[in-house]
This record gives sequence, structure tokens and C-alpha cells, in this order.
Amino acid sequence: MPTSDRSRRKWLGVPELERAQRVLHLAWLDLPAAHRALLESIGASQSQGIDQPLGAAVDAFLRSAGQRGLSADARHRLNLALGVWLHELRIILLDVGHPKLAGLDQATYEAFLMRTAWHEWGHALSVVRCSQEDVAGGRKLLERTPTGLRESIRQAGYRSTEYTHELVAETYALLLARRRRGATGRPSWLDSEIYNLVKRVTGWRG
Amino acid sequence: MARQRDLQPRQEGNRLEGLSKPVGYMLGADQRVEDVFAVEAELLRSEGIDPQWPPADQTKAG
Repeated sequence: MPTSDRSRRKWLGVPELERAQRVLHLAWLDLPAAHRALLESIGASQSQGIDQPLGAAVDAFLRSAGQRGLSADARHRLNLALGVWLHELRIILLDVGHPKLAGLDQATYEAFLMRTAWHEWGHALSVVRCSQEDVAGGRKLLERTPTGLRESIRQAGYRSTEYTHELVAETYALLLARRRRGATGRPSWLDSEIYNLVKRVTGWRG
Repeated sequence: MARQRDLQPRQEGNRLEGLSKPVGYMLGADQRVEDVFAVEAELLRSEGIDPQWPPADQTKAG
């Protein structure tokens, strides 16, 4: 698909939204039971797919709940996101009509929704359970990350204080992808310090 | 479940800082979904795992 076609939203119909919601439910069922319990304990067990830029959606969700909305900068930044954990409302939101998803075949679309949900659940666990020292060590941990993964995190433009959470979230999604294919244990490509951090933060027992 | 002590965060200060602004999952401006899966596939292949995605309905539900 030409790049220009990927820059526009494809507004989804009700059946497509329902299918996306079903994929999120399957992603939830794919988690180890202990992880689901852990996520329930931190208020990150609910997920919803919406067909709207997330900055605008989160702002509206917060205001409708009687809370302060987002600043213009935060709204603009979040409008670019594919998923977010909204702690205040105890829910994970995915923009299932995001322009980056336009033109994908159905299997790739669904696989990416599932992966994004896993990422957000890993991110929620990281935000709640990482220590200040873990967060402070994000830049160092990123240097120990495989090149492709490291560059993905860098290209997304996160602040260095977000590196640890993004690294845990991405690694968590990758470990779940391996698990889905029957692989267990520490991957040969994963630094042991990062693996131990992910185990401690997410309760990974693979 | 929510009251189990071992499930609670270790550092409340960091937790609150992280929660003050929701940070979303972003791709770079020039990064595509296919690029994300290409990185994943390369890592999986490096340890001899077939990166082909199993159908979504085949959940472990464990």
C-alpha cells in the first residue's frame, strides 16, 4: 500500500469494531492465569478498542469521569499512539482504526492488535512495579537490547525516563509471542539483566 | 486479590510519576507495522522458532 494511503484513518464499522474487541479478549485469554490476576490487582484488566485518536478519546474519557483532561501537548502526543493504559479509569485503550493499521491484511491486523494489547499490559505492570532504580537504568538497559528492538524504541521518540517501561513492555510482548509458539525460558537474544527485570516486574515464569 | 501485599508496587513515588501522564505505545514516523513484525521474526528465527503467527483463535487460555 502506498505510504499516502497509510496516513489516513479508515473508519471502522460496527462488525469490525466487534471483531477487534474479540481479538483483545483473545489476547487477554492468551496471558498466563497468574498474569491476569496480577493485572486485575493493579486495575489493568479491562481493554477497549476504539476508532478514534487516543489523545482526544482519553481526554473525553477523563472529563466525562469528572477528572481533569489532558493538556493540548499531551493530547497531541497521545493522538499518535496505538495503545495506552489509562490508570485513572482502569482500562487499556487501543486505537483499532489507527492510520498505521490501514491496509493490513486481516491476519496481520489481528496479530498486531493482540501484540499491542500485550505491550500495554506489560507497560502497566512495569509502571506500577518497577523501582526508581529500574527506571533510572533505562538508558543502560536499552544498550543491552538487540539492535532492532533498540532502534524501534528510539525511533518512537520516547524520553529516556520511559525507556525501561517500553523495554519491559516490548520484551513482555515478545515473550508472549514466543510462548504462543511453544518456546519457554530465556531467549538467547535477551540480556539476562533485562530478562530478570521482566520476570520480577511481570511475574514471568517462562 | 487486590490486597495481596506481594502484588503491590515497590516504589510509590515512581509509580505516581509514571501515572501522571499516560504514555502511549508509539511507532516512529517512518516505522510500519511490518517493521515491528520483521524485528520480531528476526529474533525468533535467530533461535530457530518459526515466526509465522498462529491463528488468533488458538489461545492457550492458561
